[in-house]
Amino acid sequence: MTDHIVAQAQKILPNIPLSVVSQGAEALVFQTGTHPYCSEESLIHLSNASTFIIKYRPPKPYRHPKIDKQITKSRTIAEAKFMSKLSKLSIPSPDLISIDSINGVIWMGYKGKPLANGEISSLKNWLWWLEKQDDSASLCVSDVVEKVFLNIGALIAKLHLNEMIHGDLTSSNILLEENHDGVFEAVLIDFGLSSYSGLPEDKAVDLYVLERAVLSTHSVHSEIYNEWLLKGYNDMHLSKEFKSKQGSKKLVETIKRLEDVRLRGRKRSMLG
Amino acid sequence: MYQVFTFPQFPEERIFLSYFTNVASDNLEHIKSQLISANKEYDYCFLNTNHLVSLEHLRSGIYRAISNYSNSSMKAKTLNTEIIFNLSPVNNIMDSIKRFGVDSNCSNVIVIKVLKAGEPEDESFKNISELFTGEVESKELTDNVLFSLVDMPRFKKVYKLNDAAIQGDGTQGVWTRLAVSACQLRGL
Repeated sequence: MTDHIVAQAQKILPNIPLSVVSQGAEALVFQTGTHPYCSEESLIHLSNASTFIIKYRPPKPYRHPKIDKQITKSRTIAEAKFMSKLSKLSIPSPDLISIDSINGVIWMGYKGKPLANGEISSLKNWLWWLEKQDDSASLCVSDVVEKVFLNIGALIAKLHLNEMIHGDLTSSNILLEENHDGVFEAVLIDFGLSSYSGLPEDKAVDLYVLERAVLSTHSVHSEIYNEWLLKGYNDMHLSKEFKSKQGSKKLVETIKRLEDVRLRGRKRSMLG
Repeated sequence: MYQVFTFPQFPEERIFLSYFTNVASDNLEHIKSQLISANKEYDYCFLNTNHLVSLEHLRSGIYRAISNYSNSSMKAKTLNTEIIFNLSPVNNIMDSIKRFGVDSNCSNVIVIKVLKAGEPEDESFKNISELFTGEVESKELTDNVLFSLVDMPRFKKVYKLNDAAIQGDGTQGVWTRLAVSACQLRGL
């Protein structure tokens, strides 16, 4: 099945070497060493000028072709717009290189750096790698890890304070990138389910999804991880930048809602 | 002096690029009037340097134009205008020509042409050079040249970046990223 889709992608992207990074229900993610319009590395203003990511939404054979085209186009555009809005707000996310909405292709900059074991530097892989390194588990709850979680919490808060919802927060949709000082900085990826909303409900569900993801993928220390996440989320709402913009009011509403959501689950109604 | 490059996805389209400085304003006015009357000798894409922040920015516009050309989804009548249109963040062709096309107050001119198969590049350069009068100089277009010539306040205004959360003055890289996404998402 994948081979077939890769062949389709290759037809749209001739002369571009593609290697599959991951596959979701809606899109395929490729990695490539070829930039679409700058062959000289010196011209490329990206943190990584030698590797690029291509997200491709293949046509779905079970949809009516006309509707399929519309859906592919609108979802591709929505995702790229979300990314560009984030970069305007200086929230770390992949940089947009180019978009071909008709074919469902987005080119973006590569973020993160492979871990020591060669895997993608997502939060999930990093925490699993730490767990393997050390049996006493002190590595997993070190100051470095705490900082990363506080940073992620703050990042999500920034997103929510700008009325943006990620929609699919999991530990594999958060990449870690080492900055100049050797500190890990979180980068959000995958905005396929993103939306815009100012409702405490949507923000609470966003937080709840991440909480559940942490609980199921990193169960041993999930309690402390979630505590740190919420602390980072709190601190950003109460920071100087957002305090005057009703940060504390929004925080109270969202946290109150989060408690309700925890009791009832992600879906608002029990039907459907 | 000129350069020719291609994009991996479109090996057939060779893009010819040259850069001239010290072009007199009456010369530019003349070029403008010839472009409006669609003189065949002036079948090139002329750009001023006021709103171009880097080569990556410039190329992203050319790339989108060529990709629209090969998808037959061009909005402008000619490929030359399509390039100008795809550098602009505003969905209006006349407006983009006014901002990015020949500007009689800007003596630095970038000339681009997408060459047909077998069309010799040195001849294009010769033809273009003949369109300019006076003491024009042909120079190499680099990232540094573009960044030193960009009119920052006007650039920010055109790309609506005055409210962007940028620390300090921002680097060429930061502005390139914002300009590229604005160009790529225009009209979508």
